[in-house]
Amino acid sequence: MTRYIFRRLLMIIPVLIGVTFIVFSLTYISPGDPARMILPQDATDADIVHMRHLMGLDEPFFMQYIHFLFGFKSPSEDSSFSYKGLLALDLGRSYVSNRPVFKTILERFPNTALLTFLALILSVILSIPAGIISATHQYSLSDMIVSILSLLGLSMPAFWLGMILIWIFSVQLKIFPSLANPNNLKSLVLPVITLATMNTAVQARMTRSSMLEVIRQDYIRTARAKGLEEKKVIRKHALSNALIPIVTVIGLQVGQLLVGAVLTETVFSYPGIGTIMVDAIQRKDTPQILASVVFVAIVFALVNLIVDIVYAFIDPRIKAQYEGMSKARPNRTSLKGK
Amino acid sequence: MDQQMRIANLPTSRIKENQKRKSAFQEFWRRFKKNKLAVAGLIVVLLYILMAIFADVFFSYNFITQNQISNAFAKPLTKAEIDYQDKTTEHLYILGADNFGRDILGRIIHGARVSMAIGFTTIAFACLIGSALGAIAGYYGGKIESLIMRGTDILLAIPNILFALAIVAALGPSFQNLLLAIGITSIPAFVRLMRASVLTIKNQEFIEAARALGAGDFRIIFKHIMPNCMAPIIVQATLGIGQSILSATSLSFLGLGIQPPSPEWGNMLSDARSYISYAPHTLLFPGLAIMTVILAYNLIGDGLRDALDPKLKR
Repeated sequence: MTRYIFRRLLMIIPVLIGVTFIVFSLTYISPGDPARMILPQDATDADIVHMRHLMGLDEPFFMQYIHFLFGFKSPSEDSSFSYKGLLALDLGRSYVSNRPVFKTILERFPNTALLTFLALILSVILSIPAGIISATHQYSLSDMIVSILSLLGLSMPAFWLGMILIWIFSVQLKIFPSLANPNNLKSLVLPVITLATMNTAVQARMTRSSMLEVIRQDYIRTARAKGLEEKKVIRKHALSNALIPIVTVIGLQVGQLLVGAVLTETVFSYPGIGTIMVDAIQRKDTPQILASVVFVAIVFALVNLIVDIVYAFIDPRIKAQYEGMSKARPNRTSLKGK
Repeated sequence: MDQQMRIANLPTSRIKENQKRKSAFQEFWRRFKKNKLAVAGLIVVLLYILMAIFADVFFSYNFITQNQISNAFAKPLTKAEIDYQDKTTEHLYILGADNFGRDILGRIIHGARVSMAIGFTTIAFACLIGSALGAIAGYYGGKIESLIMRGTDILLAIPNILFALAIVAALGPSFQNLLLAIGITSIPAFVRLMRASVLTIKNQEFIEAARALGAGDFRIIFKHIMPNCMAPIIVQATLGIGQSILSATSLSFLGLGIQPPSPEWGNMLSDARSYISYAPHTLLFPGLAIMTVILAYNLIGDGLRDALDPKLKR
């Protein structure tokens, strides 16, 4: 088991390097010149060249990437051009607010995490029972309702759903506020529903098909044949086996939720990482964009890592594979020894 | 036995090339037809395609991009006077008017043109590049495979919309950059699918036979392997078009896609956002347009999956 976890931990390193490299290259090739952005309109060419030097922008591509990872010491006396690099969670200051970019991100990230977490809980609570009912009562009315609702949920753009919810519940019924903030639980109801809808749909479909597949297996027939009551068959024999692919999908969905939060936050003007990103993009605030994208991508990769590890505990096949290996080895050597 | 029957019934297997091919399609169509929802989806998509092609017949582009401020927020089914091409005429706003008094129906119809174009081009691009890379990875294996698959893993490690957002943010919002961003982010799914199917097929006898007849790698990959791996790719492409339309509208909604005054469903919703309380119709219809078209693609995708290969049902 430790071997599996260790291997999985190692695998994340090239992925993280690749992700940071891609995001960095994107900013590198982007046509805007950060030096020109930071200087006033009437700056001379000499000023710009000097500023590029101070910001380390005159160095070759790979050097800049190294700076991006490990930090950059500006020749200028103004320490705001220096940064400690991605590994130290410091990518300099925002062009707009002049605050350290990661400070803003780390301040706002718990808000996004809260929204994502609540949406995840809601979607799991709704989707798994719905999927199970739909599978155990295939072609019944409840199955049809679940199938239709999940198809609609899958096809509805989250930002549109959010605005429709605002129109119904904030404008017409005046039950929930249209602006969300993390300190007011009531204001979180609409964004959480908005964010959870797509996931609920995906997970309900997955649960349904996974359950349907398992229910048709021989061992379920055996369990029924030996006279076990239906509830027990479903709960103990079917669900525990159907759960494995469902957990994978839920894990993948955590990442999707994080990204979906960008749109949901925009609709509800919620102070999370998504609104930071969109504001930064609209203001061409390069360090802030770069830091936010890299940050979300890293969180996404880490979440997937955790899911994979949890997965290993649930799926006995992975466990067996690795334990089988570590047991087989000593035997083989002992045979050779003989 | 059952297994063999199933393989023989696969529409993509080309046992007796000339005769089987037609009947395989008929067989597929017979199965697809049974799924009424999928047929409905197909009809909706065809309607949208027709709408996109003949957009100019219904409304001219100049008309739907020109402001008629006096008619701003006209309710659906109201008649109002408009000034267009130096003439004052009466115009029926079937779905109402937006914040600049532009006809919403007209903008939705022209928006269909943009969305359909984005859906088809991005997926065609991703499907070509992704399948080719996947086939090469699966066929050759070894170092080429690890290189391609690690690259795919990295692309997959960045969430779709986020990556598209980063590309558009870096290169600036424009139609081409939007296509590029969504196209690139759609590639990995095709690489993985293609590689997986190539792996299952490349050791079968007919490939060996082709090789024994002296066929080169290129010919084997493109003539013998790829046509037999098409079923999952077609399904993925159908679902992918829906997803790519959704991504495009999302990016436009954030102000990173198609820029106003060009009509696009996402930027129509972005405009409507400020007027939710007193003009809900500006919000309702573009969203319904997005939803129906994506729903239609999802239905077709499900139908294709069941019709092309019952075993693909997930």
